[in-house]
Amino acid sequence: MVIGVPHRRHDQSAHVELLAVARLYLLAVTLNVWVLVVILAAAFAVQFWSGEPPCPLCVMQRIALMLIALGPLHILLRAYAAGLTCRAAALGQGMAIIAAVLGAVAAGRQILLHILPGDPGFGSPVFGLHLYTWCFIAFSGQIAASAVLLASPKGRHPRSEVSVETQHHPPVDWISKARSH
Amino acid sequence: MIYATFMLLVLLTLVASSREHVLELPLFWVTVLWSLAYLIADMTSPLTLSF
Repeated sequence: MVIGVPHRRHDQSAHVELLAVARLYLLAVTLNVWVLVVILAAAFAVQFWSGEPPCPLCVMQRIALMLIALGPLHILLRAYAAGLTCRAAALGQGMAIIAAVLGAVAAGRQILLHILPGDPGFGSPVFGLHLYTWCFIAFSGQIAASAVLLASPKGRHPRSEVSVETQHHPPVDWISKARSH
Repeated sequence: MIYATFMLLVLLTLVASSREHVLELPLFWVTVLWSLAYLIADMTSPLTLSF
């Protein structure tokens, strides 16, 4: 195939670029999960260290944090099982945004409960802010991060690259058959 | 008790996700909507969850 050689060279460089982008995307998604794990661990550490049991709204925020983590985990599980697809990425980030909105509602509710002047707030502050305020910042950051990851190019996973590489392109096949005759 | 139910739903969603089960999204939606309904019920009642 005369025409196949330059075409394949072009594809190979594109594949390398797509692989790098896909790995970068999966790295960002993995980092997202670890950030959520660290936030949850920090909340537990503050709880046990200062001896402050969480209020029901705090529990709701922790449940929202766990629900957020299900989105990136969905992407990672699908990516390592069958390759990274736009559908899995969109679904996972959508799940994360929905859960982050839920958490922001809970955290915003708790902030508004203690917004009056003179109110000491619930629990002891950490770095000048209460845990529910930090949670609201985390939920807002998660929504922004998911939006950025949704808008970023995803490339393809190596396994899906194989299927792309081996598929036939009708115009190329038609030209190569015409030249061989 | 209700928080234990929420946690159980989160765990079930995680298991469904790891097994690529069709119930993953329905379980996720049930958890989110139930939690949201619980929050809205709290907002519209005189006794709040944080006290």
